[in-house]
Amino acid sequence: MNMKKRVLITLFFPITLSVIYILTDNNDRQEESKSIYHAKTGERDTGVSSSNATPSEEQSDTFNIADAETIDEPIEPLKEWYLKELSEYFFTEFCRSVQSNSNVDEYIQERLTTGDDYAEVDNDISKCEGVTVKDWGQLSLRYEEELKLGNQYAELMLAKINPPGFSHGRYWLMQASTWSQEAMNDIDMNFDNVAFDEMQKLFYAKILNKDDIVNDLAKNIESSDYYEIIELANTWNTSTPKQRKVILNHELVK
Amino acid sequence: MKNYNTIKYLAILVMVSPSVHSSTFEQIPLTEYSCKPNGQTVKWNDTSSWFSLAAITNTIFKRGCKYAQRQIRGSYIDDVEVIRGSLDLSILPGPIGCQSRSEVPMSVVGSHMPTSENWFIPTQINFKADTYTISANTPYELHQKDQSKRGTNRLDKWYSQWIISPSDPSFGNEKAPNVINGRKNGHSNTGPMTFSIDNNPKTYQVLSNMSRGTREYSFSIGGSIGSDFTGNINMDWPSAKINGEKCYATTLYKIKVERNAKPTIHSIVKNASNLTASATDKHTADSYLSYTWEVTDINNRKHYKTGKTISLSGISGNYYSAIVTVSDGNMSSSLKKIFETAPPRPIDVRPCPTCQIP
Repeated sequence: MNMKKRVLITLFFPITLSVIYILTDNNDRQEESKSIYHAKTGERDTGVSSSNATPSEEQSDTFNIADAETIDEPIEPLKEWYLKELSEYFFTEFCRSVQSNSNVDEYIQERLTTGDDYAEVDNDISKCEGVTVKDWGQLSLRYEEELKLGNQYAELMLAKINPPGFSHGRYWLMQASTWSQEAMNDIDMNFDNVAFDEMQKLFYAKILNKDDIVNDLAKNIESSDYYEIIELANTWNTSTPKQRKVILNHELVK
Repeated sequence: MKNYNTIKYLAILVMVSPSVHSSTFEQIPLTEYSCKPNGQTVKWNDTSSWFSLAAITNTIFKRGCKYAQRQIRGSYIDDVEVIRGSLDLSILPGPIGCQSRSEVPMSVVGSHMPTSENWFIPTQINFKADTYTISANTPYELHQKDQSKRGTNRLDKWYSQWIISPSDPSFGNEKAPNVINGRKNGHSNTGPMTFSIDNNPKTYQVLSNMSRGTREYSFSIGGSIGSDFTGNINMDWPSAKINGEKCYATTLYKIKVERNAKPTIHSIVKNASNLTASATDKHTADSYLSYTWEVTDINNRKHYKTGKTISLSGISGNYYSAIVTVSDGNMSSSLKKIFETAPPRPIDVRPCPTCQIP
């Protein structure tokens, strides 16, 4: 190979690789978008046993379609999408637990000691064979894309997949709580695990009528801030989801 | 050579910092350290990354506070005893600069509370620092703590880097510190080891490709706070009282990275109309674990929920089974429990054939 050729290859090979990468990456994204679309319209086959519960049987959310300007689809398919995603999330996390064992025999033994029967364990192992478990970061990116497309329930999924101790998890939980009673219930029941600062803690404690916590926090917080937070919490109760998002942008709460 | 490169690298770190005049910074060779106020030159033999970092860090503060034209609050600089081959750097657990420790330090969130310990005490150096133990491939997050009110977005510029400590046994006798990832700007949000705490909710990162067993890493975070070299300070931080000063904050931690282990689920407890799972993880604190549930009711209807505690409202019947999966973001464990509340038994009113009526 002469020098000229070598130079050309040296120069253009990395560029060619980059182009191929960008193109394939783009294809993946398009594929992802398609799957999101199918999920929304209920066409996608996830290969995962989904919830048998119908949307109407699940806990109702206070989401008001009129307040979500970006959503141009009926609410029910979105909620169905959400329930399906949630069941899929459980399934993949469960499969993570199967795959977290380096030794299948040890896993079987462990399950048997907790009272499971062999057939059930064997079935779980088979179900999870070949299942790829995405990490939370990858899932977050996916749902953030979905949220940008106007699927408000993606916000609830973001709140579900990110542990509330991380500021990322807290952020999405707060955002989803503007419209989802389920998110608000999650905050209520796992209050101590959410990475709230004192102001946020006071704000949600007031909304959730946790009087003991409110009284405790009152001792440490400057009175002007305290009253402002209480006022915001009172306003929250009579606000629309859109107005609540504005409240969450308040200097004391965000 | 590697030692020298690391120092050179760290020197670049300082030079490129917008808060330090690059023209006033001189490259410091490893074996000569001349930042003692009286100008005495100090030499040492230790080549650890920690020692190097500490020295560089100390230089940053001195230079920063020189511009501040005011004596640094606290006793940081004065505490540095620079004697040939001996340096007491017990100053390192907290930030060094113009703030007191409670105003600036960062913490590695996701891990359990750090333990403070004396460590890395060879012949001449005494360090004391917070030690976090985390595991590879699980998310962690950096926070500034003890902020009086809100947020984690107080450092306007900050940098971080990972360095493999030479105490890492997998490196055998190699003494040179090994920079893993280089300087990362806290404002960027791309690539691994890059953190963003400025209004971006995506804050956690995963320390990956370090799963070759237990290793020790050093981790430094440095940055400038609210300073623009003109004395204009971000007044959104009144508690720092840094108006007119150049302030620098650097925190040095010891991070122990271990091979990950899956969480242990101890129990699922029913309380009123809730279910609560109890789990522990060696490396991950409770709030940073993910809990996902599948509850199957008597009609074989499945309900999916998340959170350490879930509500059973909407789940009918007196029999149900619950599977909880607890994950640290890398490994999971599952536990199943069946709950059955027997329906009240009807009162048996049939005559008793064997009973004798008195």
